[in-house]
Amino acid sequence: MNKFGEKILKHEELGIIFFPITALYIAPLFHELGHILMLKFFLCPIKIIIHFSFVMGISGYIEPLCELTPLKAVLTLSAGMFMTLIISFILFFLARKLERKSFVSILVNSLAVGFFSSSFIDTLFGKGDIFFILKIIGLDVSPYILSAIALILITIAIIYFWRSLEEEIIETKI
Amino acid sequence: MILQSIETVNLVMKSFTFLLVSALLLITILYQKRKILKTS
Repeated sequence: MNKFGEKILKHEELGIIFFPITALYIAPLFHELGHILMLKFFLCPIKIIIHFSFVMGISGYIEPLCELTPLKAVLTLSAGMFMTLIISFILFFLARKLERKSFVSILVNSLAVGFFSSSFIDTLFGKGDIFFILKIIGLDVSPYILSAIALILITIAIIYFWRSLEEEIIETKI
Repeated sequence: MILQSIETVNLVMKSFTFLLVSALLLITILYQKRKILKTS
């Protein structure tokens, strides 16, 4: 391995950089893929537009060109969030299986927390698919309550990430 | 039509939050690492 590679691997904390990269550019792609796969499963033709912005990350516009029942609409809307959530749980599980105090382990944890927080970040700011789902179901939940739940969930994930960072970087250096 | 389109929101606040959290994590880890190296 070259010197640059060795230097990077010595600074495990640099794995944190993959957290915002995942949350902004990778997770949104999988989120859209979740919607697309569900609509494809319902054999519904679609129109897709994916926007890329260096500052704001990736965002998508999907137009189903068929009539969906309320149940199919709810399933399609929730597929995006479930896609990123399932990936995040797989990655959290993988990170635990990996060798401790390694750059790769922190990288996988960063990817996991990126996918997880990306699932709830829109809800935190009072936007996103969950509001449409509730509207279709006919449930009237205060956006403040939903934002608070999203904030709690994201905070738990970040605290878990912080704890694993502490274990892998700090405690091993003592 | 129940579902006309699915649009992901594009918010600067989103990127700002992610960058802020990562920066805070990185700074605190580097600070603690330095503190440990100094005392050992």
